[in-house]
Parts: sequence; structure tokens; C-alpha cells
Amino acid sequence: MDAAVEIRGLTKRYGDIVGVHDLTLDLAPGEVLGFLGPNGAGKTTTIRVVLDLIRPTEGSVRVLGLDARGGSVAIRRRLGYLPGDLVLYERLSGRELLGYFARLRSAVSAERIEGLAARLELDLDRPIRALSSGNRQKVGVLQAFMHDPELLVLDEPTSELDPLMQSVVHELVGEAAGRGAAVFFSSHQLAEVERIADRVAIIRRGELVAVDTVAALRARAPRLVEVRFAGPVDPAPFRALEPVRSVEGEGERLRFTVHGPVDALVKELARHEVVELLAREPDLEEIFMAYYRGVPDG
Amino acid sequence: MADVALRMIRDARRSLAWWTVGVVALVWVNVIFYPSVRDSPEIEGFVEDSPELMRALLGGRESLDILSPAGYLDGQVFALLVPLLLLIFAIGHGAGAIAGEEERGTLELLLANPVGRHRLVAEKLLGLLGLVALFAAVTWLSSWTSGLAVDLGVSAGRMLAATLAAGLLGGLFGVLALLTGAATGRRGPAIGVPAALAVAAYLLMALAPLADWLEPWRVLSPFYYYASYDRLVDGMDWGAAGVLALVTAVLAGAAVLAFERRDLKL
Repeated sequence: MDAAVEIRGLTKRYGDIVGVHDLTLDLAPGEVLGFLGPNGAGKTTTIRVVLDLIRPTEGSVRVLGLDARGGSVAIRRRLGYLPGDLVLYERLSGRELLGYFARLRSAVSAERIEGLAARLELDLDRPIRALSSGNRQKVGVLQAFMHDPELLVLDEPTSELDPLMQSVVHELVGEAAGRGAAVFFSSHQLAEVERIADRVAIIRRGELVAVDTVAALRARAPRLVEVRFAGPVDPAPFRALEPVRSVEGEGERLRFTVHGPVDALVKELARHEVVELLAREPDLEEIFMAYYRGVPDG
Repeated sequence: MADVALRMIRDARRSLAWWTVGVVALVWVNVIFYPSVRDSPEIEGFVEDSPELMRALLGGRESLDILSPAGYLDGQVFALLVPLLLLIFAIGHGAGAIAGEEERGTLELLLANPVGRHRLVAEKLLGLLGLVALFAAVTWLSSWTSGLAVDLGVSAGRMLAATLAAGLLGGLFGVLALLTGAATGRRGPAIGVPAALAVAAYLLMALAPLADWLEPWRVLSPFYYYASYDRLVDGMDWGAAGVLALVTAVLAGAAVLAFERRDLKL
């Protein structure tokens, strides 16, 4: 089976400004990939190359087995896209806009549109200029999902939506992936990506710095260990330990950041009377911030 | 099929309605005064005395008798008013077709649909030419009905020939606006470039008879092939119409190619 998206060595320059540099990324059918990075990191540039709205400076992009440029019309027939900067036709109602796009796709049933509108609690008869930003976003979500595409490219789909509607979108993403669709999902909300993505790609200043499952990223990420001792303890011997990256606090409370096996730390701790010990895995936000402060090795 | 073109025409229906009101009013007001102007003795003297330059700029020529039905209809309606209105209308909608959608940002979502860039430009061209044709039809109907009202004596067929020529002229500059928008993605140049060229072309056509060195360059002006007075007197000139249609077709082809090659400005 063809990869849903296959990006090889993608570079996009705007004059002297590098949008994306040498990016290689794959997305398999049925997979949900969370695409993380701050504004200006190259997420939207990458997405727009996949849509053939802009063309690569270097590298190749294949989508659903076809060349992103040569096969663009065939690709877009099988693809649903929600832009990050969603701009709709203000003068049309939701129903008119969706009807227009449905005719361009010629494979969308009116029942499907009505069904999605009901789930999203969207009034299709109001003119778009009278809709709140949340309701506009629902129109955008609806047009991306209405033809049951094989590939969904969603640029910040849940921004502007309330938590209830966010979970409806998460359900739609889950259902699409369940029937074999690939989902390319960019977001600022790391908790949401952690919940729905199979893998995460982190992009920084146009370069991909990590691609892996959340579990694997977490396994590679530093552990936080918080310890309360019976009395004050000198932190110096802990700093000397190889896997310990940092020691914070003083007196009877110390916080360690540990990269790799915790064995040496545990043995050193055993030399003192330990009242309380708390070790936890970092959440995606801490992993993400770690990549942004500097790529962790290991 | 042609959903994008139909959408463009439907979205323009309010604009078209207002333009229709304007054209009908302007044409009628000019034409219904024909009997009183014809019968007023001072007018002829006024025309004889007015400077050559002014007559040239108002679309006059040596042989033109502005008191004949065709001469009056041309001087008051077809020489300047109709092409001016048609050009403003066509350039506005030509610039909006692609550059307008691109600047507003709706083009990104439209192009998420399975509509190729060739097809998008072709449909926008079709929609633009449809709008220009509707505008020309309104112009023709108002000239014809107002002419009947005052018993003007220029046939509907001759008026149709002049209106068709005007439609081709407007279509040419409208397509130039669409081309500029397709190439740049910006509405400013898409309006400015064809508007400036239209003014230059009009001046070239109008002033050429006054300067010998300018005379041979007249053939470069699309207005040279418009010649509305001749249409109102002699009827259709298929050769001139062919020249305008051919140039428009070349500009349309360039628009398709220009839009295919570039990144969208988003």
C-alpha cells in the first residue's frame, strides 16, 4: 500500500528566507500524525506544498502514491483540507458554500452534510458573515470531512472550538483513521495531540527535530525525580553522577532531571534516609519544550 | 461542470443589478434628448466652433455629423460612455476573479477542491466573459428601446454591431486584468495595469489624427478596432472583431500559463 504522504528532502525557500529545510517525513494510511511547532516553524509551508498551493524549491513530495504537483487534482479529490487561516465566502450561507464545494467534488451526499452539521451543532442556513469564529471553524471542519477523504490535512482544526466541539472533532479524526484514512494534524495544544496522535513530528525553524510515537519520545526524554529527605543533604555528590542532568532545590528537598537509567541515582539516594520519592514521565509539553531549548541527545 | 464560472456570475448579480440601473439611466437620458438637440439651431455652430483637440477627445472625426442619428448616438453613448462603463465593469471583475480571491484568502479553500489551476482560470475567464456579455446585452437593450422611444432611426442590428464591438473591447481589458491578477496575485496591479493601458490606448487612438508621427501607431490601440461610429453606420466589421477576439484569446492563454507556474500568495 502506498504511503499517504511521502516527503523526501523538502526544502522551500522564499528568496533568502528558508521556510522548510531538508524535511523528510512519511505518513501511513490509518495513521494520525501530530505536527508540532510554533508559528513560523514551517508547518503551514509543509502543508501547502502537500496541497500544491506552493511548489518545493528542492525535494520531492508524493501524496496517495501520486506526485504532489502532477497528480494534484486526483490527490485533492481524495483529500480533505482545513487551512490554518480559514477564510470563507462571507456572503454565502454554510449550506450554499458546502453545496458549492460538494458540486466541485460531485461525490458528497446532502445527508452526509446534514449529519455532520448536526453533530457539530452548526446552523447551515445562517450567512457566514453572521457566524462566530467557532461556527466558521465548524464549516471548515465540515468541508474537510464531508467526502470521507483518504487523507485529512488539518491545520490547527480545533483552535476556536470549545472543548465539547474539540472532542467531536477528535471523534471524527478517530473515525476517519478507523476506516483507514491518514490524518496529518497540526496543533498548538499538546494535550490534544498526545491524546489522538499515533506519532508526533516536531519541527523547529524549518527543520524536523523529532519524529516518533509519544511513548518513544517519552522513553527518550529526561525523567523528573523529586525527593524529600529526613534532613538536609549535600547536592554535590548527585551532580557528579553521569545520568543526572540537573539538580534543583536545597536542604531536604531536591529535584533531579535524569537522562537514562536511574540506577546510579537510586544507589546514591540509598545512602540517605528518604521520606518521599516521586518519579514521573514528562508530558508532551515538557518533551516539546526540551526540544525547543536544545535537542536532547540519547 | 462550470460551477466556478456560475458561482462567479451569481456572486456578481448584485453588482450587475446596480450597473444595469446605471447603464439604462445614462443611455436613456442621452438618447431621449435627441429630438430637441437635433431641432436646436445653436448646436451645429457650437460643434463647428469647438477646437479640433476637444472634438478628437470626444471621439469625433472629420466626417462625423453629430446631428445625424448615428452620429448623435455615437457621440453621446457609444464613443465614450459605453466603453468607459464596460471597461470599469470588466476590469473590476477581471481583477477580482483570481487576485481578489487570492488577496481575501478564499482561494486557498477553493483550491483544496479537485479543481486544477488550468480549469480554475478557464472557468474564471468564462464567468468574466459571461458577465461582460450580460452587461453588453443590457447596453444594447437600453439603446434599442430608447431609440424606439424617440424614433431615432438607427437599426437594432447596427446597434448590436456597435455593442458587440464594445463588448469585445471590454472583454479584452477585463481579460488583461484577470491575466495581471493571475500573474501577480494582487488586486492593485490587476486594476492599475489595464486601466493605465486603456487610457493610453484611448489617447493614442484619439490623438493620432492630429499628429502625423502618431498616425501609423494607431493600429496598436484596441480602440482602433472598436470604431463605434462605423459600426452604427455600416454594421459589423468581422475583421476588426477578429483582431480583438484574437488578442483576448492570447491574453487568456497567458493567464492560464501564468497562474499554473507560481506559488499562491497566501
